[in-house]
Amino acid sequence: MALSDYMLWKLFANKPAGPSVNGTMAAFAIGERVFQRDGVNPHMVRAVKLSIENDRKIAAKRAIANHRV
Amino acid sequence: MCGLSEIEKWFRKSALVDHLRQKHIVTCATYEGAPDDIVGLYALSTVVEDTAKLGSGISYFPFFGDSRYCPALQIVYMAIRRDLQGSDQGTIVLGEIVKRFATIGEQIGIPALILTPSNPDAARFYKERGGFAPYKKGAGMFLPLQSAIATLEAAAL
Repeated sequence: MALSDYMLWKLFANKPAGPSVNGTMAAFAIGERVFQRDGVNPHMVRAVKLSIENDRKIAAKRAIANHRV
Repeated sequence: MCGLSEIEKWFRKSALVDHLRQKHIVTCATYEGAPDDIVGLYALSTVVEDTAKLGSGISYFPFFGDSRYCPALQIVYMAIRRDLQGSDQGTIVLGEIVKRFATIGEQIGIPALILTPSNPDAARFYKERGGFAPYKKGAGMFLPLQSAIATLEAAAL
């Protein structure tokens, strides 16, 4: 009886929205299909390239500044 | 700063409090050696999203009520100083977000980067320049983790 009540609660209770394994797996599957359909955006590749170059420039400037000290 | 009063108001009044309370992670872009000269900013937050909303043109049938939700990284705010809009600075900030998402998402398993564009021009920008896909319904857009990782790999070559 206790188990039955528990199962009923499990099936019908209104639980707060939280991430679930099924939902997350489904989101990855949808993402895979969107990626297969749309591919990589060249503008975005350029944006990330610029960001990486920017990081390198800052790291080089800081390295030079530290070396001077 | 960016021309949108909502973001300016939030930045002046709540950005620091939200960051310290870890509601959003706020990052400001500045020029090297000029920390007070803010070029742009972005605020990221982890949220729970309804999986059924993602991917226009792709079917999804949840098995149970609690199989609908997935974790997501949300761009809550992103802004570039008005005089620099359309320049490479904005592109660098967007690239930084995608780079960060690809790294964090792969480490802890976040399947999507989501956002709600504030106007049609922003929606066009995110679609054409960012490769974001529209939601099935509503104004939301998302970038799958797979796209972000492939973009980072292509950029690193």
